[in-house]
Amino acid sequence: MMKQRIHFSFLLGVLLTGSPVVADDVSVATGPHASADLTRRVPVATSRSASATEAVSATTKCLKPPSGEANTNALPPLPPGVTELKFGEFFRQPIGPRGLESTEKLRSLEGRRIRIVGYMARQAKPVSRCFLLAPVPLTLNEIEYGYADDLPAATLHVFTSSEAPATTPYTPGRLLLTGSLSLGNRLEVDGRISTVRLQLDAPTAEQNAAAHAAAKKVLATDPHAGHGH
Amino acid sequence: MKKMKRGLRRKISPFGLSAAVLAAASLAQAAPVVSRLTPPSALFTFGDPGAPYIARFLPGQRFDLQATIRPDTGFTITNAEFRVDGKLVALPITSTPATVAGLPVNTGVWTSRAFSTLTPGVHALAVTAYQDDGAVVSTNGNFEVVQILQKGRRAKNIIYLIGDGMGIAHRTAARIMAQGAALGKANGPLAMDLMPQTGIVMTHSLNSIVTDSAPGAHCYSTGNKASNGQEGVFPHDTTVAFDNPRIEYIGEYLYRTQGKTLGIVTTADVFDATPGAFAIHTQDRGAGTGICDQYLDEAVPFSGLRVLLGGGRKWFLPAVVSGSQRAAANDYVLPGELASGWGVPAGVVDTNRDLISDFTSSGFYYAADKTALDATPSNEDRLLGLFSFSNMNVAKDKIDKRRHPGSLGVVDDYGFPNQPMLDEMTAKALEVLAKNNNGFTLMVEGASIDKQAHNMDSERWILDTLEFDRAIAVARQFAATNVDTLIVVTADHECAGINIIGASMVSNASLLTRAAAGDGTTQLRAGVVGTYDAAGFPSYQIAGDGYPVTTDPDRKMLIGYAANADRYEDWLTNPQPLRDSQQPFNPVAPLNTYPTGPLNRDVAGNFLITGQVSDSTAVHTASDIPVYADGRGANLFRGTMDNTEVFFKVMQATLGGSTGL
Repeated sequence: MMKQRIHFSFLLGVLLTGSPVVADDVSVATGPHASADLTRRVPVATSRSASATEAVSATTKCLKPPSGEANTNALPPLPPGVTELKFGEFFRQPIGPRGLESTEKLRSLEGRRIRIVGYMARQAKPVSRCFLLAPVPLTLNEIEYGYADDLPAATLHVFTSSEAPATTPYTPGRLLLTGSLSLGNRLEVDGRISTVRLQLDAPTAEQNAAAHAAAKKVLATDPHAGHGH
Repeated sequence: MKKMKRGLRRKISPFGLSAAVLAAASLAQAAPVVSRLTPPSALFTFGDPGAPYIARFLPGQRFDLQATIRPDTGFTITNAEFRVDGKLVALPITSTPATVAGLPVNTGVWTSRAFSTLTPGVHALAVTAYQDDGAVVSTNGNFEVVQILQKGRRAKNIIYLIGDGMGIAHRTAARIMAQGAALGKANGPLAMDLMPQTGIVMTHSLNSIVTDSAPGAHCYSTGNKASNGQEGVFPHDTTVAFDNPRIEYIGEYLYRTQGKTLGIVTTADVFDATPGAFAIHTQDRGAGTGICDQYLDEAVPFSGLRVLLGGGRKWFLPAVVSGSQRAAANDYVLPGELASGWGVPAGVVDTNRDLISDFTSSGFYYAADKTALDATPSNEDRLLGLFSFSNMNVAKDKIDKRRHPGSLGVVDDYGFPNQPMLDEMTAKALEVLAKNNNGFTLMVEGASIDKQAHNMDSERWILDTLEFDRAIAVARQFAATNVDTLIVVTADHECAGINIIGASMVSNASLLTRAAAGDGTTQLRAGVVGTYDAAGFPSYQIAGDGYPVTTDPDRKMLIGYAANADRYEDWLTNPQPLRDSQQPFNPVAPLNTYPTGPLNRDVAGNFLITGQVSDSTAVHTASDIPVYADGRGANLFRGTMDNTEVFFKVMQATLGGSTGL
């Protein structure tokens, strides 16, 4: 099973980005920001250090052991023309009197190439050439619950290239995706309204062929492959 | 004895009336079968015609009649009739297919809407169904209409204060923290201690000894039992969330008959079960879009809803606005027969509805934070306040921000640094509602007493109990100058099996050291948990804002949980609450650094307390809960009572009055 997961991570990475999938530490807040949070609450909450560990453990299900290894999750160098974007940078804080408002950074990246780390949402009703990338691993059961789910406000609708296979297999674990960002409300074929979208880079012809072959082979031997467990 | 008798009858029922027995019968029935008759009764279910009567109503209180009827295979039910005391009910009757799993496909649900009778006493309810081959089935149930006695001055205003999950020990813990005790006596009372009348309430729901918050509040607003997860309705056999048989709410009844308006104030998301159970009729307490739409579509015109304060803005934003959670799957459209039977709008699926704007177009002043709430113009008589996207932050975290306005705190992480306290919301609600000369019903909920008890976050639920107590004080101040006001303080159920087990025997400095040592029971139980004499009298210093200067003094009070999930415990105040998955920023920094559960915090001390339940957090219990009353009609609230009886006492005070206070 583990081998299969790795295989699919690789498959997805090749399919979607044309570049290696890299597991990033998506919980960016385990860095200085989180430490600052704990420090600033000392006057009221008494000083204690356990929460730093708790905080990490709460977000590290898919991570390597955090102690002293945070740097192993470092991303590869940013390619030219690509901006790093994090889910926490989507919306302004504090929240105003109505809805969430996008940050200047997010607005400035419209039409630009970005890369982002997140988790592919596991959907009961996957749709063609589109999936959701969320800041946390999550399962969406549209069949039982419709769209009444706790999908985070900061979620990306990700679109694969028309050259990629129509179905993107569910892939657990962190994903690093690179593509072009687009903004604005739009009703998607999955029935949801997207606000932030990522059009993934097309795969190379070589990757594409390999991916098609691999997908066929796996699906032939295990029809449940790629749908999690 | 009665229960045993009913249980015995259920097992040997010769009547063929029990739904359970009938469901198990073979397909080769000789006649059509009625598998459910609503309102529910022991007569239908167990063949027991005696008290206690399960369904009880006020004179004139409206409710739906419904029967689930299965014809024989290959046949059709052509008609059904309801009779009350042998007299044909003259209301329209309609049928819809039963869609819950396990029923044969040709089973139908037959309904007559908005029945009522003014005659007190026990009434016989019968349904007769006619099959197209001439076969007929008739089945009996009953319900009671409660007599209101005219016997004194009536209450004009009703203030329900519901501490969600607040059992007797929550109150004791709050008093010990806020007032302290010495030489065997409490140093002072809570506001709720000053309520002159006290009773005990039994809290079972229609389908369990342990209720959730929907039936736990529905009993106070309808006088009836509901099944868990359901509010304002009886259970039925379709899967549609908003088409159940309804019971008229206190707000609907009093607005229709007396012009009294309604206010709902909560620290939860306003779609949550307790606020919802005062205005919304649904079998799905989670259907946020439809619930919040119905506040405006139904509760404003038909319950006189004039104040709605709490969290939950995510349901009020058009789906195209980031952060909106409006979704077609949990919106509402009523069947035509329901809408016409009750005279209410059918609704539409409208995920892009701007519900805040619709409220303001209906004359509501909208407050998005404390500053706007404080600035409510004095002439406003309609008030909507949505102070966060989901549940509001708890008292501890709101107070921390007020004490350290220049620092970033938990409320900043949630994106709403300027939220009002419950007592401030209560004061503003009373100000607005008091403008109605006919009086009002106000429901105030201390919601996170329950939510933080679930999380076994002791200091957070204690401070929320203190916040709730301050709201009680505000209500009592109002009643002092508005003497025809009845105040009822209670809970919906106990949460987490909480009690005060004693006090720490060590200083906070020592506790900090022990909590970092990783030695489990040897550091955090032995030598720390002081029981009996060793507990002494824990002492907390209270600041000018009414809350403790610190919740980690030396020799602090220690709390135990009897309905607990596994947790690590170090007795220290948690700097952060557990994550709340309903918050829009829950998965991103900095909220994603918050602990996800009781096994993800306090881990350094390595003191694992294993729970009896396999849930991730503590659960509700079936324990009785206290009810306290003050003001006009308070003397009715004595002794031990079913939770539905609280409703009838409130209505006796309001419709018939009572002698004395």
